[in-house]
Amino acid sequence: MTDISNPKTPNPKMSARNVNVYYGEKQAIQNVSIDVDTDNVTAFIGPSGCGKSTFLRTLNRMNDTVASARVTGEITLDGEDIYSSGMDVVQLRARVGMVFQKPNPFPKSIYDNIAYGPRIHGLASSKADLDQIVESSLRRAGLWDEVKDRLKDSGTALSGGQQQRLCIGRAIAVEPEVILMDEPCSALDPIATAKIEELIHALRGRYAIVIVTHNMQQAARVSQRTAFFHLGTLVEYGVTSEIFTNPRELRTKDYITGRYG
Amino acid sequence: MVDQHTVKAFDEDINRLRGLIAEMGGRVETAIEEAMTALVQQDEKKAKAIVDNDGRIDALEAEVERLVVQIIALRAPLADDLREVIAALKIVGVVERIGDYAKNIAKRVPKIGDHRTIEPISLLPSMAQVASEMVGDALNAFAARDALLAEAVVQRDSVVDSFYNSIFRTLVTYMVENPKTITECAHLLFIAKNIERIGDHATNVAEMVYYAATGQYLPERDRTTIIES
Amino acid sequence: MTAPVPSPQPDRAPTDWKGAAMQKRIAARYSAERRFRTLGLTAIVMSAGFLAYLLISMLHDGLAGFTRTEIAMRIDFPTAPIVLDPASLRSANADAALASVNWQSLTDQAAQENLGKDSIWLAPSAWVAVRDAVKHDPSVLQKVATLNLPASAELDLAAKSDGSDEAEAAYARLDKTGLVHRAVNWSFLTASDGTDPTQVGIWGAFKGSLLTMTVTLLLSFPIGVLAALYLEEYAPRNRWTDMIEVSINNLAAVPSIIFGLLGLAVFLNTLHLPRSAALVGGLTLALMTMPVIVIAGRNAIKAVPPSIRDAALGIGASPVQVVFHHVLPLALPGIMTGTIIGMARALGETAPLLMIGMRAFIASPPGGITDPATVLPVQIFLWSDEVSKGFVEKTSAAIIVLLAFLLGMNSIAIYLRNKFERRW
Repeated sequence: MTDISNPKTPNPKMSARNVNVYYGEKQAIQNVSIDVDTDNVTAFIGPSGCGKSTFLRTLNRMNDTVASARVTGEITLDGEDIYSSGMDVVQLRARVGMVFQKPNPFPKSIYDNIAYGPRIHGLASSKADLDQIVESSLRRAGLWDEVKDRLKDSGTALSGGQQQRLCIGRAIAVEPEVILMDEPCSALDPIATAKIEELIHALRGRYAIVIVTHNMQQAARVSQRTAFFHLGTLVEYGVTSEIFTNPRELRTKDYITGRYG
Repeated sequence: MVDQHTVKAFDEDINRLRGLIAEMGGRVETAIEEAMTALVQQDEKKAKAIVDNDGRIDALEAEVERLVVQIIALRAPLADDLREVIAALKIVGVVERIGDYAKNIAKRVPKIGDHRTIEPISLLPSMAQVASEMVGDALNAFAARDALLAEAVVQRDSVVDSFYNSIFRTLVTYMVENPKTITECAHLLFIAKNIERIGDHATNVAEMVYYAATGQYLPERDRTTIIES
Repeated sequence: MTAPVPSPQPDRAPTDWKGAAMQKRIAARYSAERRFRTLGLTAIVMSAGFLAYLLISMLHDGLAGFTRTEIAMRIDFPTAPIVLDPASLRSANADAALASVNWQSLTDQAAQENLGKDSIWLAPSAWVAVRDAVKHDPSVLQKVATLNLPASAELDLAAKSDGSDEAEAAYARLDKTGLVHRAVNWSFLTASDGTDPTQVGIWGAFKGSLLTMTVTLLLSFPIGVLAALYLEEYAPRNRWTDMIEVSINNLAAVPSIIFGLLGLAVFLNTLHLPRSAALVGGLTLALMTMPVIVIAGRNAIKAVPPSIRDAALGIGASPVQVVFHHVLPLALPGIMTGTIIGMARALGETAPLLMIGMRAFIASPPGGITDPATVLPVQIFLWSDEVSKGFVEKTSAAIIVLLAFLLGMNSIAIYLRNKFERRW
């Protein structure tokens, strides 16, 4: 393989160096080195099974829940190795929040969905404090005006797009430093998708955001940096406008122009 | 490299786009050459035909614009596809302009009259030959995504400029020596200027082709100074 | 990088959708559909028929068991040879005062006066009813009271046209005098086992069942649920857990009599726990119910969508928080349904309880889990074995009580499932 793009970014929040992920005998990720920038939205694109979701899940150790998964190499959050024994995985996941492909609100009230994280981490000292966190999280998730009169309703009664914004609100309620989004719009209609994209845009700068998406237009719209994964390797990583107008790697070009099978 | 898109209709659109531009290029090249023939042979009928044919070039431009808008809307092209489509949109504008210059030349034919005595008129066809080849090569480079050919076109612009400088000087000398020829010399001067502009536009097209093919901008070159400016 | 998708081969003849062969296939498809539907409907009708037959015959035989034949009898308490101060009946030692009276001779004498030679048709234990009437309302001692006393089992059968000729003749005679009538037999619901079918009740067995079920539930539910949680959420997938899984599945299929033998060997012979007690019965049934709860629990836990676990883990919940805040509440309706089905099976179980001696004749309801007790199905088994004809309807009545108990438990299961089931 030719010289891959520089993994470094000016202001990295997380850094991965020479990361390999194995599921049993099968190697899912090969030697990936990449920085996640603090002030930017980073998009991971690539064909199905290329390892982009797998890699995303190594960033907050969600792969720990898969018994056969094994990770080598180094991933740091603010310079601290997240796979070291000193890192508490529960705290890590509070600092590196995650939003999933399918909106998955808890079958509880909207209020409890948002309040759950702050409650288990003890972030609110009083009921008023918690109310405040719920309101500000819902506001930042762009959902407050739609649900403020029915906070006691079940989160599962919302529409798909609202559910996904509720999930984003739930993630930001614990004030994470990084938010990982695993194809957050794949189950949503274009209007709901646009709202999520607008939300991502609004959250940029406050949180480092990583988004995995199959929709290249979406990656182009929401991200400032794009990484192209193929067959478990990082093929190209660079500024989004460069990747989508003038990719350096042939594989990247063939994929984004729709020539890859 | 895989040339074909997974969605074949995309390939068909791109091919049709290239076909339209090739047709436009061919028509413009012909128009330039015919204009020269008409000038040299004082063939007013031919000149009239060139002016009439310009409508077809304008129609082709409109068709390419429509197709480009449709490709962008329906296929959401990216990377080299995107650059190519955008280049196509810009190129047709320029090519249409080149067609207009050819038309302008043809329009001057009846006004010049039968004056084969003026020496520079023998230089003009050679100059036009180079300029029209530049147009042809630039459009061939576009069809073949050939960055090297595009670069070569850009280099040739200086030849056209040299021709222009030489013709300019000669015509000015003529006018000074023989004020009666001023009218037709002025027309010839404009024709030379038009051909020089055609060369510049061909260069622009080549630069766009170079960007479309490589994603890089051609480094700024030192342009031969044109006397009048 | 793959080759472009090949275009479909164009060399097939167009399908003739309207042709005769096609129409025949369509007709065959529809008739197959109809056949299958008819078969299904037949199956439903047949099973509904069997169920209806069971219920109707049970109700027909059993409802009579809730009634008894009574003979109205005038007893002249003021002139009777009894010395009993009504005031003493309101004091603390009322039972002692009652015990000092020979109720039996009083009743016999009254029967002689009222019925003459037909006094033999009065139940031998009718005096108990007299005593209870006085106990209930001491004021009758000051007057001539008419009490409804239970008739003997034979007259009771005669009243249901199922007795001996002699008894039926006596019933016809008494019926003319207007002294006999039928009434609800409340004592059936409040008394315990006995030898006289007119006097037996279901309460002892019912309470025994209740105590046994309590022991079973308290043991098998927490153990079963925790085992299911551990296996689903924590245990690594390896040979050991596979073996445990197979064992649990096998355990659920082991015949219940084997559990009875196990209970006999372990709880009675080794641990020397009291024989015939609800404690041992409950322990034995808990062993039997546990695998059912584990299996139902695991299925319910598996049915909780992984996305909920991901969601909780993704905002930093620890595994225990994930289990107790999300998985368990969502799985609970399923677990409870499984548990109640397991309990219902345990409630109907006879064989293992026979092995640990819960078939003894127990004439008083158990006071606690270590007292000798019997349970409803065993009671039914015992009564169905009785010689006296009067027990036939008691057996059916007991079955009705058992079915009602089961129905009640299943209703609770359905209620809980609907109440707690959530959509996601």
